[in-house]
Amino acid sequence: MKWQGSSPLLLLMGAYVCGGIGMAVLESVGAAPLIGTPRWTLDAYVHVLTAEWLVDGMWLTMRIALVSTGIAVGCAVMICMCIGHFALTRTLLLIPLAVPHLVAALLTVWIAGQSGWGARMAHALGIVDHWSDVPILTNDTFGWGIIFAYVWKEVPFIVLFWLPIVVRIREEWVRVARVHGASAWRAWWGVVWPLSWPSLAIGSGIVCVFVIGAIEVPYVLGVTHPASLSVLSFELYRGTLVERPQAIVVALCQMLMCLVVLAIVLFCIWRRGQRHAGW
Amino acid sequence: MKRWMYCVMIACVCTACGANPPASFDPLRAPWDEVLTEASGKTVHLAMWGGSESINAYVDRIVAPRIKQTAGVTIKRVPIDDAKDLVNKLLLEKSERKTTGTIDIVWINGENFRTAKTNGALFGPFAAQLPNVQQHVDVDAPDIAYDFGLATDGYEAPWGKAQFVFIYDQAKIPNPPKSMEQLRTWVRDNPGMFTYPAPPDFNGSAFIRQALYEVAGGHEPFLEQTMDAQQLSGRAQPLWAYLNEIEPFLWRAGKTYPENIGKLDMLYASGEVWMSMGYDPARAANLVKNNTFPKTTRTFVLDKGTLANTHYLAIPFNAPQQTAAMVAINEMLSPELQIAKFDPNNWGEDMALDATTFREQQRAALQRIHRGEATLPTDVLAKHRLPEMRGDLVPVLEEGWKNEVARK
Repeated sequence: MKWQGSSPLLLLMGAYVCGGIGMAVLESVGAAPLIGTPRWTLDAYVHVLTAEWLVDGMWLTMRIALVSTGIAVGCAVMICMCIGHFALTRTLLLIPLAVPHLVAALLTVWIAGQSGWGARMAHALGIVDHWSDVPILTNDTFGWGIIFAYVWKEVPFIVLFWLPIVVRIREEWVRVARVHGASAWRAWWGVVWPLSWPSLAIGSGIVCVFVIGAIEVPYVLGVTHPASLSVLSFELYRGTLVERPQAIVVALCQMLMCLVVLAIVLFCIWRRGQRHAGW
Repeated sequence: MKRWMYCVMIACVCTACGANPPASFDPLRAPWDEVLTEASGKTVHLAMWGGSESINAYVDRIVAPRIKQTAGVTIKRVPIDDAKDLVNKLLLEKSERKTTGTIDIVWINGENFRTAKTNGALFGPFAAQLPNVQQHVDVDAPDIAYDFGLATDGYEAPWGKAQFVFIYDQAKIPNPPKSMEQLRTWVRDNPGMFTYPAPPDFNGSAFIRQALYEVAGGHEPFLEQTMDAQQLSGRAQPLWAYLNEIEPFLWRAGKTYPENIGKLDMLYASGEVWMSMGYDPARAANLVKNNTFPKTTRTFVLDKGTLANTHYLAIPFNAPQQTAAMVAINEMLSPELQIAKFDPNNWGEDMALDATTFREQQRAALQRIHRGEATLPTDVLAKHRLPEMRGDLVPVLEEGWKNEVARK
């Protein structure tokens, strides 16, 4: 089988990941504290899971993950369908890929912030009287700034993840379909899409999981409250050592959300495999 | 067939975890000459907050070359966001019994020092061994012997003194407020023009302590050794009332706060807010100098005084080069490097040394330094110093702010 070639890697990765999670869980129930004597307790779970800020944080995290993944997938599909075959598109898409997330977040502040370049330009062109009239696009309660930064960063990722497969299908299957008289539209939805969506699903799953876990963008572009789960767990982690178990509980919530997303993606692909033979 | 690969990997992991043998040389007992000889040629890693260009430049361009020249020790600066992260890492390494760490010197004070010292994560006591501490530091002065209410006991050596100041633009605010009461009025009259970094940011946390002293009946009660978390929570009620009262008049109507001091500085530099603040009286002058802040930027303290503290250098329990670290710290406390630090062209920060112990020539050099328009004169700062409260009470206020202000 294919995966056996990478089994040493899997073993190492598995040991680190499972070991890390195991240690974290032990610490979260007080069995392995950094300082002091071990004492089994579920205090951290009770404290975190009953807190209003956790619920708010979960909603926010889910909202930015789903909305930014949704918009990114929509844009990526449009790009692949319309301009994916131009070499220039691919070159331009490499630019956001090369920019780290933290830089993307800061760029968003500089461009879309209330006193940023966008606002200054609007003021210079006479569109607004004062920068304070510019709508609040960063550090807003909904999270539009965060979503914008993620979409900008993740569209190229999804396109480059998906486009090679689309191109291959086009070359081999779309010509056949066209010979048999299918319109371009019909060839796309009848041939390319059914054959390629599983890889799009995997790509967007990766993006969604990344957004749930990553901290830089919500840290720079978010509001103080509600804060995303990543910001909450980071702040608790940096707090006193007493708060460390709580940080772990928040991180476990993030992990749970990631597992749900992965399960949904895998379930969709599995069901498809039940119905047709795969590509 | 690939079994040998597993063996190699497991062997690699095992060697990586293994500990190096401890050095037999004891720098805490050896004569200073031997310490110097032992340290020569070594490299030390200095972990410090990396958020200030001028401080970084002072270390890279002034401190490192000089120590290389005088003691043969190479300094590698490791920028960190908060000493708290490093202290947590040390505690983790301690629990894993990792006897050889990566950092030799850490810039630290307050609650981080308390956590590190009380959990045995620091090497020492080493301060009394250093010739420059013996000659130039007034080790009995309360603001040096006690770090946020905790005796340093020689586990850290003072590097400099900082004081909380407010930063404003005199072109926009001709008469800055002189008390928290006046600040409240000013904020109300100028909606959207004021905010503070969200605690637990170091400076934001200092701002709420500063406010606490004034709105909850002076600093004295908060310095008492008997004060505990519960009493503090009770006494902090007027502070939450004050902060919630000004909240609707803050930047973005208090719906969000800048996540750190860098963001607040950015808002001030772009004119989005009219005041900044910070625990470094010379930062404003430095940012004026590199054209980040407007030329008309000035600083002010409150009539009843502002928070002041001393910051220190410490050596982690598992520093790989403890001897060279001691030598480097000693050099950093030399009058030459401390006077250079006082110079606003480098950093502009108050010295940890007692200038009366200096030679005539060094005192003259000190007199010639002009600290810039935006920095208050040393005597004005000195007259308005208030002591810090106990470090272990600080997280109580930070947690209180989250629950009583941010999440309401």
